Parts: sequence; structure tokens; C-alpha cells
Amino acid sequence: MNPSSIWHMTSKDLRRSLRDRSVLIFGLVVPFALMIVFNLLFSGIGSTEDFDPVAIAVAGVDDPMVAPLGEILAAQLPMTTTVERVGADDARSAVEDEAVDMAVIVPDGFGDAIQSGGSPTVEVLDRGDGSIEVAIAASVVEGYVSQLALASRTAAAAGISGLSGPAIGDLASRVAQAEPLLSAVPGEVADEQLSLQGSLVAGQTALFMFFTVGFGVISLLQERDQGTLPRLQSMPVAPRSIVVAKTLTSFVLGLVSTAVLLGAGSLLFGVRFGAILPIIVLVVATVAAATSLVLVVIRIARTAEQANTMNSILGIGLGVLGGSFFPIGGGGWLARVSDLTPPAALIRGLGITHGGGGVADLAGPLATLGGFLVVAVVLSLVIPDRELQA
Amino acid sequence: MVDAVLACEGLVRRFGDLVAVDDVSFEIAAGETYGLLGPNGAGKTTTISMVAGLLDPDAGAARVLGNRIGPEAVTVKGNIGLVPQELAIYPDLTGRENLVFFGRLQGMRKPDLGTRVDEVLEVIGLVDRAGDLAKEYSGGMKRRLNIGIGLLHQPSLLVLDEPTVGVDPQSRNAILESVEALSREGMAVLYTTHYMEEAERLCDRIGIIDHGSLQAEGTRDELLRLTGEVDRIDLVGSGDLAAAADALRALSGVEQVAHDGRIITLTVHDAPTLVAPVVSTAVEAGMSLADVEVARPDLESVFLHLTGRALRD
Repeated sequence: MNPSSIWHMTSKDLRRSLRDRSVLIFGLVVPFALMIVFNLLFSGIGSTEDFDPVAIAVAGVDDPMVAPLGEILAAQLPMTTTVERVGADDARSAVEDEAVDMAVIVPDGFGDAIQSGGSPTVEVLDRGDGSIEVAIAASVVEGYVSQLALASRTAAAAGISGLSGPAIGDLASRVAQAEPLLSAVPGEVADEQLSLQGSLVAGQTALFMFFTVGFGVISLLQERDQGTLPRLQSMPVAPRSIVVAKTLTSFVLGLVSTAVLLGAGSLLFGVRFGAILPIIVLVVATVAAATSLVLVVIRIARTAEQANTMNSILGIGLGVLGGSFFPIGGGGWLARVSDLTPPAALIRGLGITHGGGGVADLAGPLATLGGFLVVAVVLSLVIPDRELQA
Repeated sequence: MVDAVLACEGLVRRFGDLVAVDDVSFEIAAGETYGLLGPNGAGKTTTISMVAGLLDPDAGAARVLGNRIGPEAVTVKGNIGLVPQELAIYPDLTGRENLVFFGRLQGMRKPDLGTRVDEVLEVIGLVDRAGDLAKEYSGGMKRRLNIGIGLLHQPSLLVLDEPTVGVDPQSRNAILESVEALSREGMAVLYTTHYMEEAERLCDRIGIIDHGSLQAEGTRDELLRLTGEVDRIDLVGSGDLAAAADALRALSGVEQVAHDGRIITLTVHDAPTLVAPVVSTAVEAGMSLADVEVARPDLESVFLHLTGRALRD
């Protein structure tokens, strides 16, 4: 095969593709439009603005040991929170009268009891309506009280060990206010899920990649339909060069479209997919896998129109299955099949790069894409060649 | 034929049970135009597909300049210019872009390619429209571009498969003139057609093909002789027809003369050549002419004679 001839055929097809508005429409315009529409539809999901405001009455937080609790409730909850300091009886009646959503009652002598190793009880009251906002606030109170319980156990241990009363109180106080020595913090791991916007960009990019790569390879059948294939075959080029050139055209179109969609999508929606090298490796592998599928299509289809239809059905099917619109959750067979599709591999891979993963961390998605490519190429070789029959 | 540009030897091609081409052999020399004349479905396009290296024959071989041609014979294909029956141009490329693309595939490079493209645009009369997209061309212009691509690399063998189908008379004449000029320049031309007039006008030799078999081949006159028919000239008029008939019998090339008092009928070998002397001899002998009719057996007659059916059946 002559590389020069292959390049001439490829560059001719790329030029024709640029003049064909449908490539621009299906390769760029439609996916961008869908990204924007889906973003508008789903942008509210997971937003803290969806929480209802919550009103909390707190009693007994004048005690220095629990003084921070009121500030924590007021400042650190994800919803708009109103904290009112009241007496214990008022707090209880406020809940009963539904004047507040929740009440936290710290008993008198709470701090002293902690410092002496006692077991005071913090009472949390709510209206019993199962409100998620109240549950969140209650879990925050529970977390704070857990740290105070640790101080109480420390004081008890100090008493057993023979320390004096003031020393026990001081130790308990320090424990109660200290930063934890061991902590669990949210971190970024290599298989982290993409954000909603990231999933939209990755999903739509993966879906429309099938359409874009289809334009190059399907043009082989168009050559036959419009009568130029016999002339190409009469040229001094190896017959396989024609198929290779078409495949290369598909690959280049897919690569450009994917790069533009990911790049512009990330700018438009403020999504970061991570380091550039692993992304390039992932995109090249995904486009190659998608292109291999179209090689199978042109073996089966008799006309460009048939090939276009089959390609669209396969593209949408694999896109849906691979989570281009919604992730396929659970551990059933559908989820396992979903994991084997190029869109799922791309989305998963971009999640890995987003989480800081490198090329080595992409082994799973790359193996999936490689397996898909091998199966498709073998199929395209096994299925009898019909498209080159003059 | 010693210096054959194309030599086909016993070509056979089957499609399932159908024998599309059955033991077809012929040769074409440099500067010769060979016509394959036959109705639609006779096997012309399949023969051309094997000659152009698009199909492998099931038996036999086609050789161009002594080298066997086939789908994998990449180098040999460079000696062939194919003009397919269907328009084989890219409608969304300009005329010039079409020529440049196929020229590059033929291995042509700048600056020769640009020069040659300009020459071909001149030959096919598309200089002024070279920058327009081919889809904006008229049918005749597309046909001319289709032919121009085949000529671009100045092949030893030009293969034209029914190049004038669906072409207006003006464009058809331009195409035929181009083929005549190429033949004069020494190009070997294989020309398929089911138009008898084109074959008679262009072809040095003609092969008559039907049901995949070459029924006969030769020059036009050789083929006409197969029918056993001769040319006829009818002179219609008045005056001394007997004297005129006697005078005409003495003319060289005249075989028989008969007259019925108003018409003199002559059978001759070559009517077009003899018409002028026949007319002047008759007038000089005292005949007053009202009309002259020339009737010749044609390739249609030959085809009918060989196959038992009309060429356009």
C-alpha cells in the first residue's frame, strides 16, 4: 500500500466532509445543543438550593463546653438555617407548636458532667415528619456530641489513673475542643465519578462519536452508489488502500469531533477532565473502537443509506447502554454489558482522569476498548466482503 | 498482432450460473480504436471491468503492454485510463479538484500535474468552469469531465464504456471528436457502445458481442461482407434511361445496372465513393435526375445477420 495514495484519498474525503454540512451538524452542533438542553434539565439535581430552610431552637448552649454547637448549626449546614437560643421548656414547646423544625436541649451542668467523666444526655426533638433537613441537622449534632463523649471517657480514664479534679477537667476540655487525631476527609481517587456536567459532556461526546466516524467509512458505500468506486479501483493503488483511507478518514473525523466536543464542553460547563496525556490516550482508543464498529457495518450494509441507518441504531443503542444519557446502575447483567461499551469506557476513563488518574490507571477502560476493537475487526474480516464488488 | 497494447485471450467471467463473458479474445494496437458493439447486457461492461483490472477473469487473461492486468496489478493499471459508463466524478469537488485528485492517484505531481490539468481542461472545454463544483455542471459537461479524468495521465490504453449515453448531440459530437484526436495521437482506444453510428464513425475494427460471446470482429467492410449484402444507388428521373444505364455499366465499381423506365438501380461496392461519378455519367448520358437514393448495409444488418435480432432489442 502506498501511504501517499492513502493520504490523497483521505484528504479528499476530509475536504468533502467539511463541505457536507451534515458532518458539522451531527458532529458538533447537535451534541452541543443536547449538552445544553440536558444541562438545563438536570442542573438542579443535587443542588443545595433544593433544601428547605430549617429553624432550630437550642437550649443550654451557654455552657462553654457546648458553646460552638450553635455556631456549627448556623453556619455549616447545607441549607438556610435559623438558630434561636431559648430555654429548655421553650425549646420543647416550640417543637410541639411547630414554631421550629427541631430543638436541641443541652441539660444544665453538661460541661461539668463531661469534665468529671459523667454521661449527660443531649436531647434532640423534631416534629416527626421525616424531614431530610432535620435529619442532616440531627446528624451534625450527633457528630458533635460524639466528640464530647470522647472527652467524657477521657476524664473517666484520668480519674481512674489518679489525676486531680482540676487536671481531669482541663484534660477533658482539651479533648472536647481538639481537632481529631484521626480523620476521614473526602479525597479524589482514580475511579471517581464525573460531575453531572462532566457526565453530560462525556456522554454526548461518546454518543455522537459514532455518527461522526460513520461519515468517513460510509462514504465507501457512497463511492459505489455514485459510481466513483470503479474508477478508484482502476487507479494504480492497492485495493486495500481504499478501505484504509476511508477508515483513516473516519478516525480523523472522530478524533477531531471528540476533541472539540470535550474541549469546548469542558470550557462551556466548567468541567475539568484531568491531565491531557491520559485523556489523549483514552480518546484515541475510544475513537479507534468506534471506527472498528463501522467496519462491521459496511460489511453488512448494501447501500450507504442502509449503512447510515444501521450505524445510527448501533450508535444510539451503544450510547444508551453505555450511559450517554443515564448511567446503568446496579450489578446485574445489563450493567456488566454496559461496562463493555465504548461510551461507558470513555465516561469511566474520563472519571479516572478527572480524579487524577494517569495512563496506567486507565488500564480497565483501555482493555475494554481494545477488546471491543479486536472483536469488531475480527467480525469485519469474517463477514464476506460485499462492498468492493463492482 | 505483434505490438498489441491490449491483448485479451479467452476471457471468461461467470456470476453464479450466468456466464457474462465467454471466451472473448481480441487485440488492440497503438493508435487503433477498437469498438465493442452489442446491446445492453451483452457483456461489454464485464469485459471492460476485466480489461481495467476491476475484476479477475475466471479463465483467460487480459494483458496491457504484455503485463497481465487484474485487481492487484497496481503498476499495470497506470497504463490504463478508464471512463466508466456511470459518471465517476465527485459532485462536491470542483472540476479542477476532481482532475487533481485523480492525477495524484495516478502518481502525477506538481508542477507537471498542474500543467496537465490545464491541458485537459482545454481539451474538454471546461477552462471557464474549472473552479465550479461539478454538481453545478450540465450533463454534457459532467460527461466531458468524466472523460477528462481518464485522459489525464496520458494512458497507453483508453477504455471508454458507453461514454455518450444520455448526452446531448453537441456534447456527443465533441466527445467523438476527442476520441478521434486521441487515436490520431497514438493512443489505443477500447470503445463500447450500442450506437451503431458511433462504432462506424470511430472504430478501426469492431467486435460484435452478444450473450457474452464475440460473434465476429473486423473492419466495418469486413463485417459488412459477412452479410452478403451490397451497396445500392437508385437514380430517379426521366430522359434516356437506357443510354444512361449503358454508360453506367462501364463505370469501375459498378456490378449490376437495371432500369424500369423511371428508376435506374445500381449495385456497387462503395456507394459513397461512386455517387458523384454515377450522377455525372447519368446526366451526361441524357438522364434528367429528380432524386438519388443511396442504401448501404450497416452494422445493424450485420448484427441482425449474426444474432438473429436487432442491435437495440
